[in-house]
Amino acid sequence: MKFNYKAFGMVAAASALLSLQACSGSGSENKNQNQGQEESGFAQVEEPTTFYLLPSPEDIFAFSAEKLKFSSQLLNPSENAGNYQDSKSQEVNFGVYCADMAYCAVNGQYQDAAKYLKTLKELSSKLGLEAVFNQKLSSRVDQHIEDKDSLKAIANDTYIDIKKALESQGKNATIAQISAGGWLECMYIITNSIESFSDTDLNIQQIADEKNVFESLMAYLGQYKSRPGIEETINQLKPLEEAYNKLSVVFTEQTSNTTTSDGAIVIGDGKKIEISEENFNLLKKRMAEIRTALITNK
Amino acid sequence: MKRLRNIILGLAISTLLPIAAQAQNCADFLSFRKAEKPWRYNTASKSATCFSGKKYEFVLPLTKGNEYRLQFFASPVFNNEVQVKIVDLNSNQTIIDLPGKLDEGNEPKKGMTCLQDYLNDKNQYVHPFFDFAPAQSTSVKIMIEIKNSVKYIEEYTYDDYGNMTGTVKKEVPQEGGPEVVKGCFTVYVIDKVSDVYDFN
Repeated sequence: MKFNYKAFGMVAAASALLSLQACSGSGSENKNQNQGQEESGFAQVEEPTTFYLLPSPEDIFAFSAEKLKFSSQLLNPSENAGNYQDSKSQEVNFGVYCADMAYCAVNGQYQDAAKYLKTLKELSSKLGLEAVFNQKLSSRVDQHIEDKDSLKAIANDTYIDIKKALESQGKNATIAQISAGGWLECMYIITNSIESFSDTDLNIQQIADEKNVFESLMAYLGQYKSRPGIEETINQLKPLEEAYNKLSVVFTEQTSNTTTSDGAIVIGDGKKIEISEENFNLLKKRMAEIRTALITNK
Repeated sequence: MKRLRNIILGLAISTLLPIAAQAQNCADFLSFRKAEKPWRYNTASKSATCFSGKKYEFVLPLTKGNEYRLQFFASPVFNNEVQVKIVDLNSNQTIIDLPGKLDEGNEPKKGMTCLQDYLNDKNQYVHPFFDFAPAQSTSVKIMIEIKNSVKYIEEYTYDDYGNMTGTVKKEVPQEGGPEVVKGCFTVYVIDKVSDVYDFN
């Protein structure tokens, strides 16, 4: 084979130029932070300085779903996917379907989980996520579709891959919208699976405790409110914010232990979010109303 | 001609490598981390693009009934010069306030740093981890401060007779302010169902 020195030299020279550009981005030549950021384009890739770390639907259901009776009536029908034409409804409902798939997976509903995975795949091309729903994932689903633990792992891994793919594309606003849809769907499913109110029901306490997650979610959305569709989602969630603000925070007795027997530091002590039947019903009602608006795209 | 080819190849490799490194995404860091049972990978884990000389916050909601293990990782470019503080938002108390590493010559022990590995009783290196068991659901705020990048030079020291006695590290003043370096800071979260559910 004849070696083309000229062509190779040109490629190497071009690489060198690109490399120099990349190195300026790594900060090796920057002196003044603000000036440097503008010159090297740092500002374009820099993320905000506060990060809200939110649980996935599978993380939320891991706590409660196995204690609740599965009902397919609570799911957003996969046929609705075709109705989502604008990017906001596509993103939010992608989150809704992620939650539906996780709910099916933790409950061992293999066929339903596969159906929702297919729906997610269909929507994924609109969000630039085709790479996540590849042949490898399809084969993994085919091989493990009837194993509950594997199905749960697939649902969780898919969510992680979606988040990773969007992060690498700098689509943090899309992650915020997906998180909003996913979280709301989880809450809708849990609140509608609770048959009657009880002070001691751990699932009801979970709904109250999710106030912390909801506050983070609202703050996360707030970081991107200038992006299309985000402000609309924030406004749709406002009634829920009002309902959560009605929950009282009570001071509890300090625990005697500062660490557990295996050395974990005990935290969160001294304050508890309390929920009355009236407030639970209000949250449940508002969650259902907002969820209906999101899935019907009204 | 063979020599020329080698030069060109060398140039190409040395210039392409930084591009590949630059293209790497912070989120990729989490792909290499696996939780061992009974721990479970928590999807709230985050690897973020950060810059030296800046402060960042990570807000993490923690649910009663679970136990959480937090670990922190920083790109080598930060040289572990990161201060990490964790505040419980229920009580507003600071639970952890640790440097990324100790001064040279000091051997870290468990609970002394947040990034520097330490030797355990079995003589194995362990990356620092922090376990939390929420008595009530709460959120924690992880506040990090990445110190300015500082460059040092080593200078010889001499006694009164001009004999060399050793070396001393001296900070190199940087024209126009400290150099800004970019890297990843990772909050790695794993969880498990708490063995102790009721603390009272």
